[in-house]
Amino acid sequence: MEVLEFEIRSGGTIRIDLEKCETCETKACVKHCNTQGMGQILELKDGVPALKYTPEEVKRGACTEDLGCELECELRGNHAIVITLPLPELDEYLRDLSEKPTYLRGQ
Amino acid sequence: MAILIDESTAVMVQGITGREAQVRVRLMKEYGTSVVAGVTPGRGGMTVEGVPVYNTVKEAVENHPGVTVSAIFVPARAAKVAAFEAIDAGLGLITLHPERVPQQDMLEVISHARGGDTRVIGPNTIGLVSPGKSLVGMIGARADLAREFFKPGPVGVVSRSGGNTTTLCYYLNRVGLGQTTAIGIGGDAFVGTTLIDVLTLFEEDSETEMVAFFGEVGTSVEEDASEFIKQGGFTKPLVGYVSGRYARPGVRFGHAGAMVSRGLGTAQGKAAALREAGANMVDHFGDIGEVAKKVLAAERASRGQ
Amino acid sequence: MARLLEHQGKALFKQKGIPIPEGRLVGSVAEARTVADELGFPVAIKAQVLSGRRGKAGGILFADDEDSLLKGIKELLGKEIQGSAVDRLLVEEKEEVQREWYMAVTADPSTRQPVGIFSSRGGVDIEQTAESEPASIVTAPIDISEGLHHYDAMDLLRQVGDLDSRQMLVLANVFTRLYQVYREYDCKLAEINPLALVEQGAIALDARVDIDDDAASRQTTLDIDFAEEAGDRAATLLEIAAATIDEHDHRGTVHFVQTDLDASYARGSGMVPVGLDAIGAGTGLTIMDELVPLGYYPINFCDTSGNPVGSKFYRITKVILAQPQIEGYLFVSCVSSQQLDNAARGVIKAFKELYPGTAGQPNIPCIVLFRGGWDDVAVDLFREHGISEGRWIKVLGRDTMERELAEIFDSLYRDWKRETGGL
Repeated sequence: MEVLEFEIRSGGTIRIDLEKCETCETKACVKHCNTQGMGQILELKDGVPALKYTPEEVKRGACTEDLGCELECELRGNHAIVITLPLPELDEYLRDLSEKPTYLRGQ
Repeated sequence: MAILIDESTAVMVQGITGREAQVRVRLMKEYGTSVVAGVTPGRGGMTVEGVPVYNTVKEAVENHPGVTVSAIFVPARAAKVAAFEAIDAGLGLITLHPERVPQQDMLEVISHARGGDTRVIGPNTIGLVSPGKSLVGMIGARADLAREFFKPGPVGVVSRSGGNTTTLCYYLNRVGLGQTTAIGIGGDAFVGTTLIDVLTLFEEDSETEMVAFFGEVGTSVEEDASEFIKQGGFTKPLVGYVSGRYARPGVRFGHAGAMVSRGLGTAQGKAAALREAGANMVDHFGDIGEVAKKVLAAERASRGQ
Repeated sequence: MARLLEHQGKALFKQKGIPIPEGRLVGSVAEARTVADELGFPVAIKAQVLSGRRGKAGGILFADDEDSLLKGIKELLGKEIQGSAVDRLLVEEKEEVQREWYMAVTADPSTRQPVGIFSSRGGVDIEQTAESEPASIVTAPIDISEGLHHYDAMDLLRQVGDLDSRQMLVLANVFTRLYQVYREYDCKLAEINPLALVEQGAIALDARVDIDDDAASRQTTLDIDFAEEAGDRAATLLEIAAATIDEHDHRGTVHFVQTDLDASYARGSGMVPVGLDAIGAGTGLTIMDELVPLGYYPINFCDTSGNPVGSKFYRITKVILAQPQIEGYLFVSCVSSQQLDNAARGVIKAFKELYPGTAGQPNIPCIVLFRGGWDDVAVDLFREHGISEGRWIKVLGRDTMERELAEIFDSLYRDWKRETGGL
């Protein structure tokens, strides 16, 4: 298994590129999930992150979506985690917008 | 002394098997509150955080005759019936925590409790705390934070905003003023316990030397209280802040009660009414601690202390 | 609160037996021809919009024949009345009115009971009557456990003074039925103004019915949009997007309302439009109290409460920053018991995604204030992720009070405007 991908309750996915995890020295995501994270859903298995619960349990709310795994991985790990949190109605709003939002200006 | 709850208070929780209630039971117990029973119909015989669960409030009270307070954590649509059950079982105090309870349900609860012995706080209340003694509801969160945010002392605190109940206590603590009891009465337009009710309780409490209040635009809560003070119903010093000076009419600002409508209930009008009744109203919320300190010092001086 | 259109309110009146004029809802000139055959003349043509000043804005016309009816319909359809486009008209038999009264049932905040209200001055706003002729208004509290008995209504109407027995009987009938509407449909207000005296008795010429949003889940028979919280208008696309955040996940709540849709109020008052996220409903109001005098107006209201998960903060931050008019952003917590580190992670993730070129450092003045649970962790996270170093962001901790925060934002905005020239 090269990729660990699972759905979360609010509607979205967490994708972990396990190939990058193999060379990661900190495993900061697992550490965070078990110390600060209230859900504590990640564990190390064969040296890479794995789920402690079934994907169904995780989706039902075992993952508390504090986003810490992704951010910790960015800071201390190998940039292996991407959390995708869609909001299609917002995309629709932005599509119809005549004036650009400020974050798209001057960049 | 404190009002409504103290170290001897025994508390039950309706809807105890729900997610939020379970967390709150644990946090209340960590703070030192005596939580002795819970109710969820159909779940009798279970335990939650070591607390026995019963099928009805009457059954819980029969097994724990010392219970006088029920914290209600049921969904909004079930709030009315849960409150009726607690009122009919003769509890002395109920805190109604759900948000967005239908207005007419609340009118029925208020009517059902009228003339009886049950005081209803809420709906949409964060709860109340008598620092160092007891905490009921969702106020304060983690026990170590609650001990930091609320300290025992001479000031009674009452707020229409849940979050700002804590902020107000924090501002008082910064100048060394602790609290007898702090209560969030809920931001809805129709609540079981009004500002006047809480002022009456603080008036009767010998340890409460003054009251600090956080108000909001909308309703006539503050205007009614200022009339009550003018008529001599409350005689202790009062410091306060009313938020929402720039709320535009017709726009609901989070709380159902926080809406200026039909030309009534502006923050400016409320502050003016309370000021006219002798209250010390601050223009900036952050100033409330310093002003409270001065007011209390003056009060003590006038009493020759 | 969800306010019903006149024809929706009248449908509820009719169900409970309150007389209303015979009428039809039309959306085109073609439909109007059959209506004329059914109703005869004269008729009233009434634009179905929520504006309270409909009559004065030219939203009501009368027609004595088919020509004037068609002309009236063409004139009203597509017309804009105080921001709402007219797409439906109510065409009604025009009544021979002898007298006009006012009647309503609502909840009285002082007594915390329902109250019946009657005035002999119909067709005028009750607020106006309360100013000019308060003596013409009579009220009586209603015991909600008992309901409004017919004799209660008669006793209330006795106070009016100039009603004869027959009129009182007819009006008491309408009153008890209006109370039924109020109760059955979870109204915050059920109002008939004017209630007209006609040959056959009393008839409701208009209907104002406001439904309690919080009772939406049990009012399933009403065909109305409960997403709106901003008074007399429908929910915006952005508000609908924000509302979907709570749809599948009840861990904490997000309430988002656009209080100044295109920032025209802010700009018209010479103020700078900004976006705001507040933890706790009372916090947003308190921050506004300090921002507005310095010239900054939050064009949205947002309250994130009940300890929301980090992903909700991420999504709502994106929603707030999607408002193209804002020239600043503030995230403010009261001294909260929520886990502020979760909030911080949500905001950080959003910033990193929206400002990829600068690793999350914003290009408009931003203030982030954490006070309460885990506030130190939250502040540290912004520093660790390199966002705090940004030129146009200040990350503040527990000791900052509301006024200081506004002053810090003011000076940041001025620097930004001076150095960058703004957007």
